[in-house]
Amino acid sequence: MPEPVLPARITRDSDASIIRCEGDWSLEHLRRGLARLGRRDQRRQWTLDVSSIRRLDTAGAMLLLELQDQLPGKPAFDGLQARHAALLKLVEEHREPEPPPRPVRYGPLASLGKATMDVLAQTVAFLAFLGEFASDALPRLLRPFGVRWKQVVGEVQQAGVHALPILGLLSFLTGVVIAYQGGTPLEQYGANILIVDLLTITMLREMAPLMTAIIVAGRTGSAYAAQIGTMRITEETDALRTLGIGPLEILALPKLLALLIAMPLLTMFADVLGILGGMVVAHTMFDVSFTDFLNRMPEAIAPSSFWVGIIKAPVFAAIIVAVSCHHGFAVQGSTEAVGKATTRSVVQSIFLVIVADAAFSVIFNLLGL
Amino acid sequence: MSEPPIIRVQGLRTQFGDTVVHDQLDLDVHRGEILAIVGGSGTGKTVLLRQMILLDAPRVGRIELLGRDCTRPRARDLRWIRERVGVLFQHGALFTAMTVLENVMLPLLEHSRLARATIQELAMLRIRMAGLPSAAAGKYPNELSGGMVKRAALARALALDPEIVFLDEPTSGLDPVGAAAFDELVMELKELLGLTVVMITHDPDTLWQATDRVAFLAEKRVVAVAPVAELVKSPQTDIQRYFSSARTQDRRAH
Ligand SMILES: Nc1ncnc2c1ncn2[C@@H]1O[C@H](COP(=O)(O)OP(=O)(O)OP(=O)(O)O)[C@@H](O)[C@H]1O
Ligand SMILES: [Mg+2]
Repeated sequence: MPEPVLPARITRDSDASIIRCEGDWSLEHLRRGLARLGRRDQRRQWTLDVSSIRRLDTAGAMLLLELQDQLPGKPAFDGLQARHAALLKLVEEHREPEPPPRPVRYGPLASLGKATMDVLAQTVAFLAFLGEFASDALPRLLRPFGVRWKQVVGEVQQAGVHALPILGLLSFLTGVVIAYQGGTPLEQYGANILIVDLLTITMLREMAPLMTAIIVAGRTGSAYAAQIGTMRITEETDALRTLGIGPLEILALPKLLALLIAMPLLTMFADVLGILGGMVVAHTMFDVSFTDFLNRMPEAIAPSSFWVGIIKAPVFAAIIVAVSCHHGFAVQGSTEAVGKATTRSVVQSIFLVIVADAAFSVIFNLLGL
Repeated sequence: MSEPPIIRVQGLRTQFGDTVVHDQLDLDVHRGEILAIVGGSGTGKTVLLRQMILLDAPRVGRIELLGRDCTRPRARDLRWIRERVGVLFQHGALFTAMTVLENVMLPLLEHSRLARATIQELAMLRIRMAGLPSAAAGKYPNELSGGMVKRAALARALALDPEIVFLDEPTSGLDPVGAAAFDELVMELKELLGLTVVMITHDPDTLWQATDRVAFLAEKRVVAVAPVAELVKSPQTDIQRYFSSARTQDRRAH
């Protein structure tokens, strides 16, 4: 028994001065401009005949009222069915005379000022976060039994063990590339064996710690920001607070400890795989056998090269955890903010890691390492 | 009733792991009625609702909406249904990145052919009909109180002038005056628009005042569907226990 569809229509009978509304005045049969009258029509006296409207819903009712508003003298609806009258009354009651409030829009100058102040405020907020984190975490660390070691182990598994395949593959490939690119010019001087120096020094001192930091920032830092940000939206962090549990202590501290443990280990793993990649290239393309390679290594590098690389790892770990947790906790209001926090945490961690790496270079240079 | 039911659930079985939530569940909803689904906590009301609004597909059983088989709906049917069914989620589920006005405008922009200005006016109408002040339209969901979120979500559920609306605990979290006004509004819309309403509720005032029939969920199925005044006289122990609590008595007279 489905009735045939009759789209909403307006017909004008100019001789009798009647505007007839017909059909289904319901949302799906309405279209734009339906209730717009020309200027000429707006000056005449009309009778508004609505007796042949079949279905009416609130959208249709609103358009009818709009139509009526345009006509001079607001003619009454002719032939209005009782059901429709009640609906029209309901809509009329709730109709909004004034337009909805406009959101505030800033001009270019104001936007620039606001952006500048935002950056300053963010820096201050980050420092405040660091202070709060330190004051929350230090007392815990002084009583090692109070630390949630179970969580720490879980985080090490997530951030460390699960990162091994991707980190191993990328380090291996980096070793391959460095050995290949560096080996070609060295070969011209017959100094093939120096590949060992080139590879081990770049890998141990720079590439392995940086690669590890970048992968951890992208994989784990983003996850931290998203997790904490979502917990802010769902008020889970507030719930923790009401339960007398510091959100920083339960969320951020285990992550910090976990990365402090995992990142040096990951860096060592990257060292090994990177050098392995280089060894394979040196062996297959530049006639440096595995034995020669390994024999040369102790001569090529001082043990300090290894330690110089490893010592960076905990610093990078602290940067990544601090930045990503800070952005997570700074989330407010919307789920969109979670996405932004995640992006920011990755970009800023990598940025700060590279800045810290540069600072390390200067310091080691001064120390003669 | 000669007209076929607007919603028909047949032989539904729902299972999570080893726990069977529904077994051989049948339910018919007639056009233009307000039907409440009640039952103890964990009897599967929300799960049933999710299947009726076609978010979860039933493993076993059949669901018909508006005369169409929706057990395994095709994309085109689904869109047709979505335009005719509105849902108010238990916690509102407003889009947090949009203002209330934008939340209500979204389905209209997506599904209607009206001009933007008209759509905006229509959205404002819904917002005010749902009992929100105009000033709330420009606010973001996290700036609203719990009750205001409910109203904004109702405004969005009604945006497309649906034929069926599903309400999950619509009056929980509202003050008594607000809850009564909410019931009034739902009844008024039912009268005027021929709306069919399916709601989950624990609110006795709503049960007694606003519903035409009440479906009682227990023992993994709908054990009774009747007007509330009849339902309380049912000899079933579960129903007796549910309604013997002072909270669920008819308080209208008091
Ligand atoms: N995704 C899921 N996975 C496993 N079990 C579920 C899932 N969703 C619901 N359940 C189970 O199904 C049962 C019914 O849940 P449902 O949320 O429908 O209860 P309810 O009747 O709405 O209760 P309340 O009145 O408390 O809201 C519960 O036992 C619940 O544990
Ligand atoms: Mg529920």
